[in-house]
Amino acid sequence: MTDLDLRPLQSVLSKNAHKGRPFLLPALMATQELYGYIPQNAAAEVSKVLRVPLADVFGVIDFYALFHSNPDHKTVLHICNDPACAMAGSDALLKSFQASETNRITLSKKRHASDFVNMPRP
Amino acid sequence: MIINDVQRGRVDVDARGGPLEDIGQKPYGIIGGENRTITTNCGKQRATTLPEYITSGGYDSLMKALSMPPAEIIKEVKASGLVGRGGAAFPTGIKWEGAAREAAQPKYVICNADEAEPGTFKDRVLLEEDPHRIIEGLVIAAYAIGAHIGYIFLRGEYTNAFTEVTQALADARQAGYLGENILASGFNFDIELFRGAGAYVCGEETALFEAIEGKRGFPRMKPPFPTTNGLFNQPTVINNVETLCNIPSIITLGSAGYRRLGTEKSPGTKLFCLSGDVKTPGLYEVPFGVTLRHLIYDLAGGIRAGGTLKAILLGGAAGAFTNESTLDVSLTFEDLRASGLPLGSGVVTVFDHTRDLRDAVLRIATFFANESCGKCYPCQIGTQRQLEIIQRLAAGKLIPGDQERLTDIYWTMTDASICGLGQTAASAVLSVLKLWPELFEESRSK
Repeated sequence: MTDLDLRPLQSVLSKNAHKGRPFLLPALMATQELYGYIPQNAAAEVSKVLRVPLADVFGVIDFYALFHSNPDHKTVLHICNDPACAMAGSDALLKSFQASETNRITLSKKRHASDFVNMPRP
Repeated sequence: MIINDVQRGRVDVDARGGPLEDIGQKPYGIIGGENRTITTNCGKQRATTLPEYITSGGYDSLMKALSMPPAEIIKEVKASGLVGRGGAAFPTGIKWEGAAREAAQPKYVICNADEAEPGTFKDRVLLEEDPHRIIEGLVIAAYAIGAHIGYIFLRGEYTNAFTEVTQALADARQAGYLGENILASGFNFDIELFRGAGAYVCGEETALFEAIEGKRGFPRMKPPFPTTNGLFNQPTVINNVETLCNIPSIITLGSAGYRRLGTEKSPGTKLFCLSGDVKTPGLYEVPFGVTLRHLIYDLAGGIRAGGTLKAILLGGAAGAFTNESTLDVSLTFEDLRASGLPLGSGVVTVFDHTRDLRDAVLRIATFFANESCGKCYPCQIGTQRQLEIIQRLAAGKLIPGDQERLTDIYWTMTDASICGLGQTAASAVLSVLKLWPELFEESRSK
């Protein structure tokens, strides 16, 4: 990933460098939004500017489910399979996607991802 | 093909084999109930704008509050009997009083909008459809305890709410309800919207502080409590979204007016999240004291598609299952406690006769095994062992001693975990073991 353009990220970071570690989660969220995932050298840039040890940055990336350190496919669908959603049919939805679109979509069996199927249908 | 079907708005994926109605439109705001105090502006299937909020009486409470001494506000909130709506039910007025008493600055107020309990969506509806009510409650809280910095910690997955709250904060700032010298009162206060990054444990208040501070969301030991040592080790008041939405009513009606609804020990109204096999699932605001039967049968239409009631999950994954024998329990803190049932955040998931409860507990056990942060070994290991036993249950391959192991895990996690996740991780599973022991009998390895 040596050709990754870090300038958009550096622009976000330089505006917020004074916040230090409390800006870590927002910085990683911004990185994810810019690149689709958090590449190692982007993490290193965050570590350098916010003055957080790189090991701690990786620890935070690893801990939180919304942060990905591997490149994802273009479209990530989150399908909740907790009891309420499963009872409304999310399992069948998940199985249909798995059967048909294995290459084009990354499936993430998310717990309680409300934006997709959680809201009980009328 | 499934994707074309979704685009056309028609997907035949009813879990019980029947056709579904078109689901092309997102089912916003299915809101019902009686005494719609908190959800009075919800149900338009979009956010309430600032002008609409003001027309409905919005920010009148803030104006009144800013003319009262902070101590009087705290007195009113204490007298109202309001307790936290996130699940722990701690008296809000006492929490505010504790932080107000502290001299240290800066102080913080935080709205805990990291709603992630399976089955709960009440806060999401409030965030998406009436964000100004939350802002108003938070400003009043800040004024009462003497804080000038506030946060709304919003669950990362709630992207629609993020859009609505961002807009509401900008509108409130522009109109002078946030920032310097709010409504010419001399009080300065502003709110930062902080997005969570996908960890159920960050709904626990001290883990939430850790996240804002840029760390992994490991809960802290309590004491010390947040009111003395919270965010950045400073005095902090952290309240649930629904709790804050009660504040404007308490200020406007006064504690006596607020207490006209509900019961003596459980005043006010509560939001219940009905899901599962009911005819009209959704968000229902009711006064405390109505029965479970009233909620499920009168308001939510009863069991759908001619089914019969088998089980009700109260309180979400961290709650407990019950059966039809408790339908006439009054939904109040005191009555539920007496019946040994949890209220939690107000989840009511209904299971009919076709549902296999082993599937439900498998999902719940998987959830906790995934979400355990790992700090306390009893929870880290206990949730894994619980999952393994429940996997054996679901496969019909329980081995001798599994029930005893499960009970042992329950006691260990409940007693030895430092946060609510570990303390409630085995609660739902144990309730199934207690009420449907035959499920375990039948699942023994042959």
